[in-house]
Amino acid sequence: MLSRFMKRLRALMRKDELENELDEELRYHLEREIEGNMASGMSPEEARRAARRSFGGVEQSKENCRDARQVRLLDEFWQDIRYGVRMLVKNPGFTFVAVLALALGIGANTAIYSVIDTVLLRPLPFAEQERLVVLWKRDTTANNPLVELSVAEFADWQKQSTVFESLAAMPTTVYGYGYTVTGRGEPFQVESARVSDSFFPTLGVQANLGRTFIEEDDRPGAGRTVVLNHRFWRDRLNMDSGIIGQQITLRGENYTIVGVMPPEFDFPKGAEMWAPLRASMNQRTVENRGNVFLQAIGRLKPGVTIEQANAEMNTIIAQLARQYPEANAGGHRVVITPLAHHIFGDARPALHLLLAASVLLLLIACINIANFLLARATVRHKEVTLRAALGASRGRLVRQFLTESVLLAAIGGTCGLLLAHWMIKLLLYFAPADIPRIEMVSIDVSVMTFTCVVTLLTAVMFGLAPALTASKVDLNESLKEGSTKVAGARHSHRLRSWLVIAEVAVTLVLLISASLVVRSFLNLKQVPLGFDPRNVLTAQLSLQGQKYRDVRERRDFFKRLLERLEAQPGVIAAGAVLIRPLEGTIGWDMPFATEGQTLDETKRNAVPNYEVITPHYFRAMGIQIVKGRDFTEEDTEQTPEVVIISETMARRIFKPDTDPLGQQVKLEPTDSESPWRTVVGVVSDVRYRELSSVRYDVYVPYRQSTVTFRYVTIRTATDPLALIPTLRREVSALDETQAVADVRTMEQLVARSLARPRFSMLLLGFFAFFAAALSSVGIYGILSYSVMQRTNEIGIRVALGAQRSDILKLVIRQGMVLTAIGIVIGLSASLAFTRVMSSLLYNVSVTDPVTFVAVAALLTVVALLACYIPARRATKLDPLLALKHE
Amino acid sequence: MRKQKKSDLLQGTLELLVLRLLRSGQLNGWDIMQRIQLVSGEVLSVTPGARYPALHRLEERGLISAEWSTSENNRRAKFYKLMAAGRKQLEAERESWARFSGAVETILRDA
Repeated sequence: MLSRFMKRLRALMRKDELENELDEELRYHLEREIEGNMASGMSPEEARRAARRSFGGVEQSKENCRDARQVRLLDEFWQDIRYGVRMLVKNPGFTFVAVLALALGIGANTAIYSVIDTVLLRPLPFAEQERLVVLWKRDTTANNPLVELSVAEFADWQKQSTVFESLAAMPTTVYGYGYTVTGRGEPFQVESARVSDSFFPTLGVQANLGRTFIEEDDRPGAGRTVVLNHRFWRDRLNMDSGIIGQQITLRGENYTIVGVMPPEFDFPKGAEMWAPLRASMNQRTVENRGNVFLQAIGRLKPGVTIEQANAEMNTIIAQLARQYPEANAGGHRVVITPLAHHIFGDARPALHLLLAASVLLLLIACINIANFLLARATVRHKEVTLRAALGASRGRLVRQFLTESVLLAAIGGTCGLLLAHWMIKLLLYFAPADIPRIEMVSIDVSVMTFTCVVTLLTAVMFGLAPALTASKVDLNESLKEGSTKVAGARHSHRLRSWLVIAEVAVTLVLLISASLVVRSFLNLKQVPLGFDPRNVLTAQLSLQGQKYRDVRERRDFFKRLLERLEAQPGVIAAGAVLIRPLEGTIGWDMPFATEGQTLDETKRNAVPNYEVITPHYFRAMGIQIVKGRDFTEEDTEQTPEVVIISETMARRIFKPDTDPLGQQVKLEPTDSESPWRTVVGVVSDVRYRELSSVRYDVYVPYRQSTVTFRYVTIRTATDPLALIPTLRREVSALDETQAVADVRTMEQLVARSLARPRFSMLLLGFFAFFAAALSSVGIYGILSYSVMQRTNEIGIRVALGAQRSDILKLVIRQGMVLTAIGIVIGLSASLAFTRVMSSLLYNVSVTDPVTFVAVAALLTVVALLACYIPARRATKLDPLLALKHE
Repeated sequence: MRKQKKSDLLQGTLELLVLRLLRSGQLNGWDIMQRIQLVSGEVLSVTPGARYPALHRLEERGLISAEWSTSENNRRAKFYKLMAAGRKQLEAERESWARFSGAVETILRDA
């Protein structure tokens, strides 16, 4: 069968060649014949004529030979294509709308798929990634979802667990481990991750240049070593391959470069440099179980399931809790997540939603085109009948119709692919930068394959029903009736009604999803931030070098810097803070106790976000002091300990009607030496970690904490960005070895937090708008056609005295019944569909009745408009002409 | 996909003859025509032009194959040769032909 097909394909491809061969074969025969004739004494002329005569018709023979080769099937296919092109050219309006709809549908699918393919489907650059997991703990008592590990606890895990081939440690966030590099031009900051020596082997990656860490590197007191990422090496070190073994100055200390990683290795995301975990620690820090900042990466032994690992790790944790009760409070459970899921987890639902939406959009486009083709099929009935009467089989007719559909889909698909190219650019422009690997999205072979498959599927989807309907010809009936009345028209009409219903339903699903996302976005945008983001410049300034190990030096540096900044024209206030708002879902957790609480009771307290600040911080950020006072330079180590707490915290942790001012709060209650602090102020709730939830905040004055803050914040009178050079100048005037990094305005940080919901909203909104437009065109189409078909009937009604309003009602009712059924189905489908969206919505229920009702009403109005135009046309019919209409 | 025309006695016979002729080795189109002409005399007087399609049909069905090579008078010509499937077909056709002609003969003799 295949070889026969190949032969035929060859026959088509090599049509000319075969034609020549045929010529040559017959010519050979004739020449032999002529030779023979001449040998028997004929003149050349006579010989030729005799040969021709005895051969019979040459052309006829050739034609029969061609027939014998069965190139007919392919010839017919070629015919169908030419015919299809003619049909498309003859209906430019239809062709344009159909190709546009398909191109948008296929383009959107291709673009979204290419993102999903790159971000989610492509394997990570780790060996056998399915065996890699991330581990941390969760505190079931205080309901804290993420409790980190100390170095000592990690070492215990490593020693006691048996389910892992290897176990590695890395910080839960890259943030805060930045190093300032000096001695290579301007000082600059790099993000680093401190990892155990087992980190690279666990992931199964090797250095491109040099080596990764060995056990000797990762010990207290070991020589300082670093592994660099590819970009650092490329951009800062000019790809110098002799760099291995050289020194680099970080935080004023010399480190030996031992390796450079391959370009695709970006884990944890954003790390430009890796340093051994324990090399910079002394033995006491390594054994300190209170210093928790790690998570573990494990490579499961082959065949070990996550459940088995879970069971073993929980046993180990319980054992450690008995051994070190003060560090491992009860209620800790291990959390094990597959690494791939950990990396892509929060990008996944939004991308899946978008893919689902783009598939729905394409579905609507298909339904619409199917509807048009059905209508056209009825109009083309005469043509079909004629062809059937002339002997075309049903299969032949179906083939012809399908060829037309495939042709249409192919044009749509090609345009879609081109469109996808632009859409991807647009997507990348709007896409939040924190989606992993998003910058690598492009159209590659797998995306092209996807597009081809989708294109063919759409062709079958919108082409098959019309083809089957159109080709169903009852010759007897058709020839008898002869006119535009058509056998199967009723069937076709019913099918088209169902298609419109489906279209309305799917559109409703898309519209409702989009509206929910829009509402959620608006809610998020109106969230009271707790600070005023306008005209605030912030930058990271993590003081580095031997000198700043002394807390007094750090305080002094910041005090002088902030004073100098406040002296600048255009600066209203300058402050410093531990971690600026909306820096990501990171922050410093600080447990607390109120007076009279037992240690066990404090474990049930929600854990506040901890900030260390300078006196002018609130003014610089525009955070409102609701009650009490701000910190001053007089709140020092020598004066009584004070604290400022957030509004919600003040309301919740004290008994009602108590004045929070003057109350006592203890931070880190497990530490027996931590002092009771007097509440001296209450400030507005600030969304430090995410826009979508309010936490408790506690603030401590910088002279009463040894923790170093890392960010300066400056409120300006004019454009904050104009202040960047001043900031850099003032910093280097105080200490030219310090680097200013990650300069942002607060408005930029707010926008960054909104980037993902904005992205989903824009795309879904676009899909939904387009879906609504398509389905109103669909409703309009079927009604116009129905009015045309019912011209006769309408004429009779008018002649019998029906009013214009009756006719209007008649037509509109027909359209609205379809719409109503579609909306009912769509509402129930939406309930199922939106359930998966709950994780993406803020302050909107997935079954939000207002949205459901409003969107259904909106769609009804749109449908009504689509009905109105054909209905009006029906009322304008001249009854006399209408009656004659056949 | 293609229905065989069993009823077409002449065509079937022609194909049978071609297969039989090719059993003894490869031949070009002209040779085949000459031999058929020779063997059958004027009984199967069909013009050569009508016979070429039969060759092409057999090739299409995979019973014979064709290749270009040099003929005895040093000219390029298309040579046909019998394929395994053709050999089988020949046996089958031969048998049914024997049965058919036997039956016809019996009727002609006895009736």
